[in-house]
Formats: sequence, C-alpha cells, structure tokens
Amino acid sequence: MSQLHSHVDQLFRGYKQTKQIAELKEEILSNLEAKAADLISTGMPHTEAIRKSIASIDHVDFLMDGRKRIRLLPYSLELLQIALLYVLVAWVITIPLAMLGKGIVLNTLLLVIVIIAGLLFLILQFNKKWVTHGILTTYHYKGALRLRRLAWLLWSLFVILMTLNTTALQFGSNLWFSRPVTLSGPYQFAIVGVRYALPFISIIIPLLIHASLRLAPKYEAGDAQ
Amino acid sequence: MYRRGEPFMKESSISSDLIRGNIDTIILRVLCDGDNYGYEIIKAISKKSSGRYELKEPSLYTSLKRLEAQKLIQSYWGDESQGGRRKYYKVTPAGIDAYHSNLADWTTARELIGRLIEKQEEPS
Repeated sequence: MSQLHSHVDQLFRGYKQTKQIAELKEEILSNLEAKAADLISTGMPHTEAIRKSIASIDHVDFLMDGRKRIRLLPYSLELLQIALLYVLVAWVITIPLAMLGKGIVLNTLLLVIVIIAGLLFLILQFNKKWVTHGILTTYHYKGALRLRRLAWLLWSLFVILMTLNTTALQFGSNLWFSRPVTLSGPYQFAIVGVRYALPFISIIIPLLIHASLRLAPKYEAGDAQ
Repeated sequence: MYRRGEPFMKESSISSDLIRGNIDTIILRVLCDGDNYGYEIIKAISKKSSGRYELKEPSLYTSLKRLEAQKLIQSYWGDESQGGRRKYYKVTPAGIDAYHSNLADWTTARELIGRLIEKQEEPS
C-alpha cells in the first residue's frame, strides 16, 4: 500500500501544501486504498490490484483552480501559425529599414525565425494525424496571466529606455549645449525615425503571450476523463 | 468536449458522452440512498449499471467538487480506526431539490428525444 502513498505524493508534487490540498490528498489516497482492498478481496493478485488503482488517476490538475487540461498539438499548431504571422510581419517591416543600413542583424534574425517556424508549421500541418492525437497538457492560466502582465511591463520599460537612449545619443549634445537640433534632409530624418521605431518591433513578444491566453480555452479538453 | 477519434473515447465504449452530462445527477441519486465516500460511490454506480458503466476517478472528483461548490452536497471526515480517513458526502436539502428537478428534466428530455430520433410508424 506504500506504493499508493508514493503515487499520491507524486500526483501532488509541485503544489503548495495548503490545508485544502492536504485534505484532497488524503481523500484520494483513502479512495485508492479502498479500491485496491476491494480488488484484492475479489481475488485479484496484490500487485495487479495496486497497478490498477494507480492507473485510475494519473493527474490532479483538473481539481486545481486556474489550471486546465488542453489538447497540446492543435493548440501548438494554431499558436505557431500566429507566431509565424507576427514574425513575418516584423520581418517585412524591417526589410526597408535594413536597406537603410539599420537593423540588419534584427532583420536577419527575424528571417531565421520565420524559416524555422515555417518548417515546424509545415511538418505539423502535413502530419495531421499527430494533431488529432489526444495528447493533453496542463495550461496554467494564473501563471500565464502573470506572465502577460510582466511581458507588457517589461516591454513598456524597454521601449521607454530605448527611446530615451536614442534621444540621448542623437540629440544629447545638442540639448546639453542648447544648440538647435538640425536634421539635414529626408535621409537623416528617416535614419532617426528608424532608430526610434526599431525597439517597437519587440511588441510581438507580449502579443504572442496574449494570443496564447486567447487560444487556450478553445482547446480545453472539457471534464477530465 | 472530446473530438471524435481520440483514443480515450474508445475505452469506456458506448454512450459515455450521453452519460457525462448526467453524472452530477447520478451521484446525487446515489447520495440520496445515504452518505457515502468516493470509491463506494463509484462501486454503487457500477453495481446499479450491472457493470456496464464505470465512473472514472477524475470525473468523480470533478463532479464532487462542483456539487459541493453549488452546496448540493456537504462533506465530512469519517473516523476510520485503520487506514486513511475517508471523506464522506451527504446530500443537502438543496441537493434533493436539484435531484428531483434534474429527474423531471430528464424524463421530459427522454420522451422528447425518443420521439425525435426513433423511427415511428405513421398512424394511418
């Protein structure tokens, strides 16, 4: 019976030990013990009875608030599709900027991501039989919500800092010595504009987390079975 | 809800989708016969169905949690002298009302669905 005990410990690994969780654990364990004892009383060998009891419950995420089981593959496929779209748009935007000689590294990096995401997408798309396969995973809504808040916060900070940084580099000396700011012609103006615009491309990261949260309920696996 | 063709649909064979929507009522029905704990509820259901329907543990816990949140059942700990303590469930007066109203809904639905999907001889 100690196997049942360690199985239940395993089920609840990673959860905070609240009173509620401790009670749930005790309830599940006593039910598994009752099941094993009952199976043994019908003449089933001991090891078989334990094995069958353990098999009857293999996760408890559905009992935790803010966690849901979702179908992994269709969810990943759609998220990948959205990611591909975002990165593609970002890449297209950075092409003319790269021609101005700015953000060449970023542009190349985005192209590499587009190719990798595209290949992954094609592989999944052409193996739809994996996609309909019922692999489930746990989606942590509360964690994802926290992550989304954090992502937007960091992104705002990043954009503000980069804007200040660009301003300091670009016009710092003009401001310090109170000289007039001069932009000699449209080319100069475009270069400055690009310097300000580049950091904003990173908006695709919080947007993707946003999309992930929006998609998850669509692929929920309903009541646990 | 599960889509067709997923592997876990196959194991509990027929009608598990039809039954799923009524699990709460089925559990209330068992508890109307007397207070009971998790595994015995599963056994009572299995016995009542002559072994044709086996309620899975995850569904049981999900249902019990939902019913308790709706205050249709209450739980208390048993005082087992050996082994782990068992958590017993007791149906509340609101639970008994809910059972009767679900039963009435079911009776109506069964009659209606029967009329809609069974092939009937047209009276001539």
